[in-house]
Amino acid sequence: MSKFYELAPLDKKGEPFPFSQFEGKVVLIVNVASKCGFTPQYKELETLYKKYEDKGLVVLGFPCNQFGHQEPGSDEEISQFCQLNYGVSFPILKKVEVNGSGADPVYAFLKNEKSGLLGFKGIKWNFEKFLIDKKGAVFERYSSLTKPSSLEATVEKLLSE
Amino acid sequence: MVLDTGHFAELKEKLLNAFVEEKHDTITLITILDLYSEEVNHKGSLDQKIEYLNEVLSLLQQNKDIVYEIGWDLPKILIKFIHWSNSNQTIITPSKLCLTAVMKCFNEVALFGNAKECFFAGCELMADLRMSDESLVKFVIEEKPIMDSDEGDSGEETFTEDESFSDNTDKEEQKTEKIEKGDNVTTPDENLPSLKEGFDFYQRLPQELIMEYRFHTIIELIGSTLKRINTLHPSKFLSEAFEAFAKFNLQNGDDIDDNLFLLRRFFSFIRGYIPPSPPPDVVEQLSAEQLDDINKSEEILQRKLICNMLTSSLSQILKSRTPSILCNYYYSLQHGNSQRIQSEYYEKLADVLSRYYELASSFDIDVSAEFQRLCVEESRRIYHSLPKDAEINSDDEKKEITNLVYQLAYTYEIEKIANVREILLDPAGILILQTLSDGYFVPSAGMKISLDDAIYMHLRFVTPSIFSALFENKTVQELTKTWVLYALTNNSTSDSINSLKSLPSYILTVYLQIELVRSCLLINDDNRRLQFSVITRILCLLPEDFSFKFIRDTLLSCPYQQAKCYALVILKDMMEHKRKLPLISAEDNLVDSMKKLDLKDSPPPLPSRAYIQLNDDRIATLHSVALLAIDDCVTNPETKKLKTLLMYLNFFTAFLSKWDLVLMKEICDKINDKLLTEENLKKNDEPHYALLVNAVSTISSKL
Repeated sequence: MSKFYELAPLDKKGEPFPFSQFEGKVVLIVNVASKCGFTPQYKELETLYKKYEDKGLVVLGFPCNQFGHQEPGSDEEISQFCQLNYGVSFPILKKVEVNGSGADPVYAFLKNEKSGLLGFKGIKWNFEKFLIDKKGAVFERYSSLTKPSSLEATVEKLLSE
Repeated sequence: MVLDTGHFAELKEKLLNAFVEEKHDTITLITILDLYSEEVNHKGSLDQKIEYLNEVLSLLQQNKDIVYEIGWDLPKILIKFIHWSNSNQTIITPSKLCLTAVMKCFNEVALFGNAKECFFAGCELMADLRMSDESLVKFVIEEKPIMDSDEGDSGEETFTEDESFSDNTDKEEQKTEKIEKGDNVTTPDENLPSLKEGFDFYQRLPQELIMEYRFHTIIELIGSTLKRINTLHPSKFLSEAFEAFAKFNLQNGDDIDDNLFLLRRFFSFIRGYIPPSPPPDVVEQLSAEQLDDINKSEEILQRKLICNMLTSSLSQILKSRTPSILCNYYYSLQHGNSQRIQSEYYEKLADVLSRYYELASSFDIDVSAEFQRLCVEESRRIYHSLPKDAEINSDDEKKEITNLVYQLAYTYEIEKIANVREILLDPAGILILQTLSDGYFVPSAGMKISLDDAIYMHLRFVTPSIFSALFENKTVQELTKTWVLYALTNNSTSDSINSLKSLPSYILTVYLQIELVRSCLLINDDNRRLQFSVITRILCLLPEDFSFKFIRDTLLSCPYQQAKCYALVILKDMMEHKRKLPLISAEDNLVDSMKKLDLKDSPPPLPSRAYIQLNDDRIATLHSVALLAIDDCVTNPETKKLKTLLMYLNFFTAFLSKWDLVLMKEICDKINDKLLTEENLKKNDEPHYALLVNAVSTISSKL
């Protein structure tokens, strides 16, 4: 079994949120921030989620304040922001660190599995994306510039495997 | 100034013809372009220049094949149009239309020139960019002699040793000098906007403004062409760009006031770097395995280059400006964070540095771990092999080793540079990131550094600058000083005493000497007081005999009279105050609380005593040192020396009741006989004689 399914980050209430529940599903993990230039990507993420939710796509948002201090709010505030402004219905988990010694184990795993540009492991900015296949393997890593809508074909392919 | 309308029209016509007739003779074409551009830039009106540049732009847009051939030669011609003369005279602002036209031409070069050639041309321009270059703000015509500009006076500053040590409060004076100097130079064009007015308007040197525009244009050219290059070895180009940046920083670091601009531009370049693509035909020439090997090694090289650039650009760009962090940290200790010095500059600096920190983290640099490795441990290692006090057999040997301590870090840095085999992180940049990136000095919770480690780190970053100005870095030196204060206030007194015990005495002597001398050169009173506070605090933690010996040696042999005055002030403080440290750390509170739980009977506490007690030996020592100071004044009655003598008398006045009065009378008599002669007292230009008369008579009246 992939180590991905052994991970259990905390949800916005601080309760364990085991990834074992996603076995056999395609998962898109995004580090999000409410005050970033890329924040409108929430809309496309929600559209993608709604379109493929029934077929087995899961989108997970990990709020992070490490880039430009653009996610300063509490977990509750972040959750409200997402729902009110972008109608987000996919899970927004507890705020985490994605880089440095305090990085969440989920991100330690993802970065280790798939490096970014030039082989740097660190997350460069908000709204970087990791796509995980049905077997829990990190399929690809996308930069903040990659629009969620552009991932449709890949998501479909992974869902059909 | 304006070119004759007919001539200007003819010139444009000729340029147009040249693009047709000399299409295949690019050398002739570029020569024509160069000549016409120079003429228009020097003699044309602003409107003519804008019209001319738009004409050039139009020709470049219509002849992309020519741009490919001559593109690399265009930047050095076009960049000259970014010039102080091309300002709107009434509002002293460089003309936006002119700047836009130049930048659009650069854009054509970046997009359609030969990418490699244009990239190298950009790097060359960057490396040669000098704020001291008069041609930024004046027309320098080779045929005509320039009155106040020759090789020996190119506007570059040479700092005396004293200036290189001083803090940044004298920067305004340097600026004013530059302005005045600039105004005194006659230029061929008397219609140039006034530099003085420009300075008043922008509150900084006009040449800095022009240089920033040029810098921006060039770095954009470098970045754009780098993306267009097809190569299997991107690291070669990246290192070329970084070398150009490093040369630029080295040449201009001390002169540039707006270092935030540079920090932001470098940040954007590093953050936005995307490696160039391989040549399209590479797949046919190399096997997949070979290609993979090259890519892997190239990725490693680029990673190292980028991490090096990130850290070294920080230390280079911030080296000539002190961040006031020591005072801020001290105020926060005394009054809480609300009392920190607020300034727009520091707020912005903190913001930029937090971005650098984020970027460093995304480049897998664990700043805290690197700080420990490169700053704390490496500094300790530099001094690790020095002998212990017990292993030193004579005073001469000790003197030799003391001199060695001064040079050790410098030698280490030079050897490190000479023997470098790989691209490393810059320890100074890591120090800045670790210390400043969280806004003001806010070390991570629970961050520990021992006092001996903080002192080693301080010596490592401060001493090399004594031997070479290349290592002078005001920011880094203030940060390490702050870490010493941090160590003093975050370790228990007993830990600090043990830390100091672990240091050989000659290391402590060097540290204290450096700090005392540097405090003499500080202009800011708060900084100086704070520096004394740190020196005094460390002397208080050291054995009494050592502290007294250090002060005695300072009085005997320090070349700075001011340092002698400070040493007397510190000695007076230490002889007057009883052993109770002014700042008690959290650690000490814990130790005290634990003691209260101790149920065993403890012996009654010893009566408190001064940090340095006055005894017969010390009275004799200070007496003989004071006699030497009098002799020194007699031989060479400089104001500074008379001031020191006055400090001696103030010191003696404070301890008169405990002093040997026979010895005191000897001092007074000697001053009266040798120094306060009728001849000297007649000198109206030396007020210190009158002050000495007053001090001697006060003491004499009590004998």
